[in-house]
Amino acid sequence: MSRIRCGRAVPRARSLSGAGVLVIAFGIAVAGCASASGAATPIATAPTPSVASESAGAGPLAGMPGAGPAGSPTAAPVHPVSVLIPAIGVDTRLERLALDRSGQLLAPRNPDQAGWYTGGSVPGEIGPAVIAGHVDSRTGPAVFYRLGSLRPGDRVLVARSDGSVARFRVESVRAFPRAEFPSAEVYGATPEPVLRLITCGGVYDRGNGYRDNVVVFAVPE
Amino acid sequence: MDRTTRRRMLAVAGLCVAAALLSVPAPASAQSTGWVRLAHLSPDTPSVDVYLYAFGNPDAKIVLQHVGYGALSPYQRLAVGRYTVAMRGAGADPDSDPVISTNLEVKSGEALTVAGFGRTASLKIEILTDSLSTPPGKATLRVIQASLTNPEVDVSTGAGSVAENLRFPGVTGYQPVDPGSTVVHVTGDTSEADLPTNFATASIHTVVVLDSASGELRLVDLTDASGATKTPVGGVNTGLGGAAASAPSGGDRPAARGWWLVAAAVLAAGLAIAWRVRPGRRTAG
Repeated sequence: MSRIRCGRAVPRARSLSGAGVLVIAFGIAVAGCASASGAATPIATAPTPSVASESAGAGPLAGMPGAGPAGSPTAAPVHPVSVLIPAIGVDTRLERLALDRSGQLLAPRNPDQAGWYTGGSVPGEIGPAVIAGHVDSRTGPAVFYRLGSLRPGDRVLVARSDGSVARFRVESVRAFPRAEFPSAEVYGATPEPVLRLITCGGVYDRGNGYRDNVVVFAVPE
Repeated sequence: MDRTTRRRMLAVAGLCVAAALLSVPAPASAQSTGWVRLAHLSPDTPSVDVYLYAFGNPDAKIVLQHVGYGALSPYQRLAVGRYTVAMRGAGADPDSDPVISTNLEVKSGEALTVAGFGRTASLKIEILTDSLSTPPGKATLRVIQASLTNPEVDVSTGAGSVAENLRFPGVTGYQPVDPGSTVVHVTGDTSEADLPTNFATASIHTVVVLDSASGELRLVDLTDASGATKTPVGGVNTGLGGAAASAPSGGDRPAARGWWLVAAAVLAAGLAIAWRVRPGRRTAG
């Protein structure tokens, strides 16, 4: 709406177009910074590009995280154990989250603890790993209360049951009306291990809960 | 200051504030990147050094050295835009003319496989678009035929045929396959090969058919991408309202919004002053 109103205002005075250009330039500068800090640092040299599983029987070679077979039949099931987000002081163990009968993702039972959706990828494996946590309990702030204040470049570490740590950096933080949740973007296939952190935001309605979901999109560090 | 000027100034200020507010969530760099992996799939071509440049920038962004036949790099995340990929003989001067080069466009949220492909005599850089979606409840499989000792192959899984008479240098489209463990079987004129593999639900695979050093068939299974096995319906109800009055509302920081307002106000003030200093503008429009 306000965008339309802006558009109508422009023809009224010619010099307004100058204002538009300047403001747009601001926007580009900020977007540029954001993508620069969120993008992978350029790789200098990878001396031995390697391949994934082979008929010869060789496993995935070192230095190639996430390029292995998607869950080889013999692999022990690995799961995430805890999440550390230094920028907002989060250090939580993880529940396992499933879907309810209607196919919606259930929230963690404990508001002070986040949960990992078992139908997504294991953090550090190819695909989207999804971790959800409450913004508040009935009485006050909960584990992901400050999730919306994360910004591009902030670190998120996920400890796994095999003793390894999957490391991510925030690429973007966005809010969506829950009714227009971008399922494909959050749960759709990705060619590298990515992480999505989800909580609530926006207006709270006693009957329906929060109107929005805040989603943090993170990529491998 | 007459009424029209004042009205114009208000309009400028209002426009700036509106623009600032509108553009706060805009840095959604969410999908401003894509992915590229680089490969050498030319059986009779010696090892190469592969360079990737942002278009028009002579400083290479990625250099992969001594990339031999059958090697594929992991995906590299790149900002959207135009790039140039060049291949030189392994160890060649980075400033020397490349053996082959091509330009490509990285698009938001898209993945590409960029491979030196074909015989040396007719070597070209093939740009394959890699799939990032599967039919619900399925996996998908694509086959790249890069064997010269067996230039025509049949490919099947336990569930049936995937490709027949697939000729070098060739690529199939992605085909849906049932999730689960199976064996990819490839038969050529002089050799055959099996590769036990597991197709997870919502995973996207490329099997590459190669020559081994001894001239046998060699198979490589790549997981191009993977998604959630089941996509939940809608969002998540992760709030109970106990901090609703003060709960943070969304993806933008209040502090960041504050800076935008300050910037917008400064801009508006500057424009207003410029307006008054240059009376010629007042008659415009």
